[in-house]
Amino acid sequence: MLDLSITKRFPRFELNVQLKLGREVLALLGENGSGKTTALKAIAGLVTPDEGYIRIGNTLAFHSELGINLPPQRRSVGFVFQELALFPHLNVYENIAFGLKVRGYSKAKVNEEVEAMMHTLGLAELRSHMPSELSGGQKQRVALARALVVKPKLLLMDEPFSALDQRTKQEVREEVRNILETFQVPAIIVTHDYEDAAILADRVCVLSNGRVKSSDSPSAAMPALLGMMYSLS
Amino acid sequence: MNAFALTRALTGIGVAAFILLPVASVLISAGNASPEVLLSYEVLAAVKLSLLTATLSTLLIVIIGTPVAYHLARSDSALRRFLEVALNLPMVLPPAVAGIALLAAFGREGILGKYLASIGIALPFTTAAVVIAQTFVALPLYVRSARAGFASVSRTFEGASYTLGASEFTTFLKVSLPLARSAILAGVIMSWARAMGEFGATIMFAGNFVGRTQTMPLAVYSALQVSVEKALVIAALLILISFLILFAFEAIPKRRYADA
Repeated sequence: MLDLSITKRFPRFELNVQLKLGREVLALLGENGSGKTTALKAIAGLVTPDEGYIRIGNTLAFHSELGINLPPQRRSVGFVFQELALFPHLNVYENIAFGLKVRGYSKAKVNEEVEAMMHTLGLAELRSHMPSELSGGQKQRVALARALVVKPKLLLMDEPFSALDQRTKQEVREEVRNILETFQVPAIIVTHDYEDAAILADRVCVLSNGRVKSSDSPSAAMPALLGMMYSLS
Repeated sequence: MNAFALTRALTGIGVAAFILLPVASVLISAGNASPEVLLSYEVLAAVKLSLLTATLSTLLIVIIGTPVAYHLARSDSALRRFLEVALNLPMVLPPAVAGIALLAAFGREGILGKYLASIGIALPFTTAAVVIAQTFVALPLYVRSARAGFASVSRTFEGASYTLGASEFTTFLKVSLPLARSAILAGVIMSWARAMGEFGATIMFAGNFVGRTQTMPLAVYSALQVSVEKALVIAALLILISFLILFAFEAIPKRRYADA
């Protein structure tokens, strides 16, 4: 599904990630500054790596030596940003419809897809609300709906629960798990919270200082994670 | 009330009076003018020309200024730094110098003007020259405001738009532009106001011909030499337009999108 090996150099930091992803949900776990978000943005095409390759499905999205670098528009990667980035001037319906409209779909087709998506995610009642009128959990669902309605090959979520308080977080996490199960879309979830990873992911990758330290099932990754945290403190 | 508070209050009243008394004096004096003055050919021609040229130059400014403002907000190229300096220049240049500069460039003997003249295009002392002069002085005001507007739009919104499949141009139209709307409107109003008030560059580059290049500020100046009454009437009209501009400014929605 996804196969990548990339290097991105910063003045005081080097990101060096190898990943393979099947039809599964992968949690990319790491401390702040470990390069998680940069890795996600590189997959989506929002950041250009210095070296390496990224293959998404059957498409070679990036290859430094072959000079291939597909723009984000042509990668078919859904991205749910940490700050969600719902378009503040568009209501819930228009936010979800955005990706369909720019593809030039007919009005009827857009409407059909958006209605179905809103129905599945329980957003039908909120269709004409503006993002500023939504709760944290509702915003999260709209962001997911907007990303999923264009049927991406891969879904990326950057710290999806960081803006939520502890109680809401558990609720929303449960919702996100159900949504991922419903849509069966391969996903990478970036988080610094082991609990998120354990609940949502089939497999966990620990990223530390820009390198993948271990890649395993959530329970098997625990010792490596503890080791990482221990070495950091 | 203590002495400091009293001083502040009195200064406040003094400042308000200093600004409002001359303005009110114009309105009061103009109120006594006979209606024929208001409807005289020169006055009507000046009003018509000012509204036409200021609107045309604002239109021109929005068309050429918007891409420039977006580039300034998003790029870090050498062109950006060069543009920055170039755009600040008309704001500090004395209007008379701006007028001479436009003549030196586009005048009949000007650097570019002599080539234009050879193909039959003469800009100076035409209505087009008025629009050029107004565009020259008012463009930076619009670009500054629009640029600040674009800069305040988080790039994450643009990134989100790209990942949803929108091209850079669609993203600009559907995301960046609407989110920068307030600042763009403010820029439109500011540059229109600056264009309406333009005097120095216009009179030097476009001259002072009734119905062709004599805008309202030029008409005030000309009228003063023959009839104070006529000058006051045109000045009063300009004051009313200024109030309308202030109201328009207040009417711009101040909605902030920061938390969404």
